[in-house]
Amino acid sequence: MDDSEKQAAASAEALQPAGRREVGTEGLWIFVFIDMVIFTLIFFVFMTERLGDYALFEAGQRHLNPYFGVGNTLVLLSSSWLVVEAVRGARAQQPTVVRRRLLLALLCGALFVVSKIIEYRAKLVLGFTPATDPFFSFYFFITFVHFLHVLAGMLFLNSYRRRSQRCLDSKIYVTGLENVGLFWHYVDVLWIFIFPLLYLI
Amino acid sequence: MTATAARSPVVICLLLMTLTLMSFALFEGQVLASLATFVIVAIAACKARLVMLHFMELTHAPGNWRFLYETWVFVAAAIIVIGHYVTLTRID
Repeated sequence: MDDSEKQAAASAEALQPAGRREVGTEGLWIFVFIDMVIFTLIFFVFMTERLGDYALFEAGQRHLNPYFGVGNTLVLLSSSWLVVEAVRGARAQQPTVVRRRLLLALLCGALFVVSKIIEYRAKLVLGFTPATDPFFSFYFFITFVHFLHVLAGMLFLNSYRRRSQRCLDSKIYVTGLENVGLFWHYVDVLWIFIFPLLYLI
Repeated sequence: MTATAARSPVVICLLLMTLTLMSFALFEGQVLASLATFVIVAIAACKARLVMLHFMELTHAPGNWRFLYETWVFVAAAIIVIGHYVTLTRID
């Protein structure tokens, strides 16, 4: 094996976690799972309430614009992919890749935030508030809790973007970025379920 | 290679059966309409699972988290699908 082959093998290893290497820290897997369980309960309560007053929930849904939902899904999916690339960059000790990918991921996050604000504003202008009816209470509650998750994720992404140079000498940085990635992908997974729940079915 | 070869007839058979049911559903317009929710939620579950396996690298998660996370996707999807169809039976 010559030098270039060794280098290629090393970078391939860096791109994929090695056989037994674990991604992130167990604490974060636990945290995300607890959050997932809480959202399952919210979905359950939503479906139960919908069962009691289907006509009202169906009418409420017709006031939502599914294009916002589709757009937000595509933005979050792109952002998730960019974070995957950033994590790979950190494993390969490429701070520039990390910084650029995280910046783009943050821009996607910002796009989501702006689109959500426009959507909320449009609803409020038309007189739909969390107090309008049970459907809009759920709509504002579920999307706002998810919105807070997006904001928290963006704070973490930004803090790791600013310290991207540390991927050169710190394994803790790489594990930390993996944790941030896990959280960010989870925010994406949540939206994947929230979108059909509120906008489509 | 062997595993793929052994699995492929089953996959093909399932695909053929799915296509058959889909064409039947197209024929029976109403069935298609009521199947829409099931398909939408099934697609969401597939997307969530793909994100978990390939972005979160669930295969490299510590302990039994893969089992719990995949179960969650199934449970979340089941709550929505079952809730929806129970609602429809109430209206009829």
